[in-house]
Amino acid sequence: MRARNPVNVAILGLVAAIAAIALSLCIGVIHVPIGEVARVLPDFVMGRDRETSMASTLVLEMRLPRAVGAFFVGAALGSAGAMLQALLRDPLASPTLIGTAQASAFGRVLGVFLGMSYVGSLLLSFLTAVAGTLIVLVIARSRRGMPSQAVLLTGVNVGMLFAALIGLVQYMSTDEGQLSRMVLLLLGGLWQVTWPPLALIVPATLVCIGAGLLLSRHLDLLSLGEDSALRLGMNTRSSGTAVLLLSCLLTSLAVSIAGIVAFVGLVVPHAARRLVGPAHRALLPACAFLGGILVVAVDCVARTALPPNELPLGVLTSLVGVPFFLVVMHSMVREGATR
Amino acid sequence: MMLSASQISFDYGRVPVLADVSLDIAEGAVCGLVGPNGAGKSTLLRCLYGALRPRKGVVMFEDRDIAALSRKEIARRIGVVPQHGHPYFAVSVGHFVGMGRFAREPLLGGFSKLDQESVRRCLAEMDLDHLEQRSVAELSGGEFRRVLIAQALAQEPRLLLFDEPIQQLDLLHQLEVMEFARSFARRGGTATLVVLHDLGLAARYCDSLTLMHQGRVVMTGPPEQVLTEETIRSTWGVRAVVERNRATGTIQVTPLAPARDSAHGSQPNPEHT
Amino acid sequence: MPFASPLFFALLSAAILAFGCSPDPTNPAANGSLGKPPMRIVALTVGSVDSLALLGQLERVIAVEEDCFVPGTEHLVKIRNDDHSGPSKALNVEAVLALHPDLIIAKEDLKPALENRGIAVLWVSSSGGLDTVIPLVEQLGRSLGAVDRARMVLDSMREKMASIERRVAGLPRVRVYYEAGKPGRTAGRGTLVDDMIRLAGGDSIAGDSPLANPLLSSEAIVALDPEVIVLSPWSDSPEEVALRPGWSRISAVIHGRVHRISEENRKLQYPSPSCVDGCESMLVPWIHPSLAPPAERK
Repeated sequence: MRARNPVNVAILGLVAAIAAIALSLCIGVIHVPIGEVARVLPDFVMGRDRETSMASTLVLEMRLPRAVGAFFVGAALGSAGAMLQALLRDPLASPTLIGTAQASAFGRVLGVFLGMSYVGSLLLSFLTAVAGTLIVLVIARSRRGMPSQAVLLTGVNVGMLFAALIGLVQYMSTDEGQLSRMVLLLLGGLWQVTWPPLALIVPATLVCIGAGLLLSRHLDLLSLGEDSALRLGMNTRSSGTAVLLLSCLLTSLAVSIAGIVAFVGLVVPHAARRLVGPAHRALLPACAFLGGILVVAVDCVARTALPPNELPLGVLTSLVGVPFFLVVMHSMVREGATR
Repeated sequence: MMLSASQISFDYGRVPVLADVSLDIAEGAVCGLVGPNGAGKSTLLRCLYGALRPRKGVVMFEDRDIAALSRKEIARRIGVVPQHGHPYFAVSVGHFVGMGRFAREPLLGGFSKLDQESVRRCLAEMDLDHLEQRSVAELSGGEFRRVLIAQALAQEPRLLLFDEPIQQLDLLHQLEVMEFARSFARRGGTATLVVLHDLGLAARYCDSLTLMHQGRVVMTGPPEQVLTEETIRSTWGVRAVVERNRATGTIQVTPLAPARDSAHGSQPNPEHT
Repeated sequence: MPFASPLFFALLSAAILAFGCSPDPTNPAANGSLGKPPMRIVALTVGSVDSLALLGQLERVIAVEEDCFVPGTEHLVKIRNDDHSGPSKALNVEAVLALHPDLIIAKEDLKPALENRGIAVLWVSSSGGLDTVIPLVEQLGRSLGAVDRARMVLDSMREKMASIERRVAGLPRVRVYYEAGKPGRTAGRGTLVDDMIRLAGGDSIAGDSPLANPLLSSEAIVALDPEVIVLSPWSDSPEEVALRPGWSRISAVIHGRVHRISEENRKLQYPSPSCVDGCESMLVPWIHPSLAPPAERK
C-alpha cells in the first residue's frame, strides 16, 4: 500500500476531471462533437458574446453549469464521506447513511417554508446538519469507542427522524408552489443548475476541502480512534469539532444544489483508499476528484439513458451504491469486525 | 524526579476508582505497576499522560503540571504503548508508525523528510524494516506490539508508559519487550513505567514496584520489599511462595492456593486491570 | 416446517390478494345498488363536486375538500385531504365519519382509509383521464336519480368536443409542452391534460411515453422545441421559465407563447365535463390563436 504523493494525485485528478467534464459537454440528447465544444468554450472563458448556435446554447448555457455543479456536488460529497469515515472510524459512514444529508435537507425545506432566502436556508441547513450529526456522535459513543453498528443504526434513525420532520413541514404547508419546490429539493437531481448558486457553492466547497487538507494529519489520527489520537498528541475535541463542521457544511452545499444524492460519500472514499492509500493528504484530494468525476458520469447517464426522460440522480447512485454497501458489509462481517 | 503524581483521586461517575494515589518515576528508572484486576492500574496510567483528569491531585512532569500542557506538549514528553491499538482502517506499518510524528510536526504542516527519517529509525530499532509496507491487519501479536512501540518512539518521548505489554506474547517477545523497556530507561534522560501482571518479570526488570489494591497504593519500593508472601496474600488473596531464582538472582512468585481466610474481598470495579 | 414452506406462502399470498381485490362487502355503492338516493354526500374530489354541480345536485353535498374551489361550496364543511405531492396523503377520516354521510366520493388511493366502514363509497380512478369522466357522470346520475340530467350534461359535453374537433381539423398539429408543477415534469398519455391538449390540436412533446408523469430533461425540451408551453397554476411563472438556461432558443419562448393556467380558472385540472370548457377557453386559443372564436351557442 504505497502512499501516493499528493501533488501527483492533484495533477492526475485535475486531468481526469477536465476530461470527464469535457466528455459530459459532448454527450446528451443532441451529441456535440468535441471539436464544436472546443470551438465555443473560449467564448465563455473570455466572456465574449456567444453565438446563437445550438451547440453554443447546449454546451455553454445548459451543460457547462450542470457539469460544474455535478462535479462540485461530487467533490463535496466525496470529501465529506472521507471526513465522516475518519471522524466516526467507520468504513460505512457517509452523509446519507448517518442522516447528515437528510438533516440538511430538512433545514432547506424548513427555510423554504419560512420564506427564507437561498443563503438563509443554506445556513439553516448547515445548522440542522450539524444537529443531526451531533445526535449520532453523542448517542453512538461509549467509553470503548464508537462501534460501527451503533453508528449506523443511530444514523439510520436520525435520517428517518428528519425525513419525518420534512413530512411534517410538507403537511403544514398549504402553498402548492412552496410544496412543489420542497419536493423538487428532495428528489434530488441537477435538472436546472444555474450560475448564481454556483458562484457561492464552488468557492465554498474549495475552501472547505482546503481546510480539510490542512487537517489531513488530524484526520489520519482521528481514524485511529479517540484514545490513540489523544495519546499521540491530538486535541480530539477541537479537531473532531472542526471535522464535524466541515463535513456538515460540505454536505449542505451539495444538498442545496442536488438534493439528497446517496452513496457517493460511501463509495468514493473506499475506491480512493485503494488507489492512493489511507493518508489523508492524498486521500482527501483523491476523494474530491473521484467524487466529482463519479457524479458527472452518473449525471450523464441520467440525462441520456432513456431520452427524452431524465432519470433521478439519487436513484442511479443508489443502484450503484447499494450493492457496494452490501459487499463491504458482508466482508466486514466475515472478518468478524464487530468493534 | 521525571514524573511525579501526588494524591490522585479519580471517579467514574460516582464510583471511586483511585483514592489518594501517589507515584514517582525517577530518571533512568524502570517502574513497575502491579496489582490485581480492578486495582486501578490502567486508570492511573491514563491519568499519568493526561487522558483522564483526576478529581483531586496533580501530575507533574519535571516542573510542569501536565494539566497546563497541551496535548502535543504532553505527547512530546510521554509516549504510551497501549494494550490495544488496532486501527479501524487497514494501514501500512510505515503509515501507522508515522502517525507518532504528529506531536513533532508543525501545526499545519505535513510529513517532512525529517519525519520520514525518524520513522525509518524507529522501524529499524524495532526490527520492522521488512514490514514497512505490510498492512497492520496482517501482523502477529508480537509484531504489532513492536509496531506500537515504534509508533511511541516516533514521538521521541522521554518517558515511555507500557500498559500490559506482554499480554498474548510468546516467551521470546515477552523478553524482548521487557529488555527494550529497560534499555530505553537507561539511555539517559529517559524512564519507563510498565503495568504488569507477571510478577516474576516485574521483579526482574523493574527498579521499583508500586503495588495497588482497590484504588490505593499499598506499597512502593524495590521488588523484594513489595512482593512478600504477606503482601501477596493480603492483596491478591493467594497463598504463594516467594523465592530467589538461581539463574536471574531476582525473586519469583509461585502461587499455591487461594487463601482460605480471605481478607481480600475485592469490590467490583469498572476498570478491570 | 410447514409454515415456512414456499407453497404455504404462495397460498397465503393468493388468499390475501383475492381478499383484497374482492369488492368491499360493506359497500353497497360498489355493487351499484344504493337503494334510495343519498342526501348526505361527502365529495372528496374536485371533479366529482363539479360534476354534481353540473347535475344540479350540489345541495346534497355536505362536505368537500379543504382546497375545493368549485363555486357554491364555500359554506360547506371543509375536510383536510392532502393528496398533493409529498408523503402526507392525509385524510381526516374521523371528520368524515362524524358527519354521518350516506355516500362518500373519493379517489382509489384512499381505499385503505375508507373501505369496510359500512358507508357507501364511490371510487374515482386516481389517474383520471377523459375516459373516466363519462362513467363518473353516468354513475352519479344513476345514484342520485338524475339520469336525464346526466345525459343532458354528457350530450352537451360531447357536442362541445365535436365542435372543437371540427375547428381544429384542418390545422397542422402543434407541439406543446405542459409542465405539471415541477420543472421537467409533464403529463403523459392517459392523463386528463394530455387528452385535452390533443383535443385542442396539440401534441405533447413527451410523445408516447408509457409513464404517467414523465420527467423530461431540460436538454430534451430544448431539443424538442415546443411551439406552445402551458404551465400549471403552481409552476414557475412564464417570465421565470423564459430565463431557464438554454430555453431562450425554444420557439414558444421566442414567440411569447408561454401561458400559465390561472388559479381561478383551473377547469383543465379535474375530471369533469367542465374540462372541455377549459379546453375551449384556454387551450384552443393558446394552441391555435388564428382560429376565430366559436360560433355563439344558444
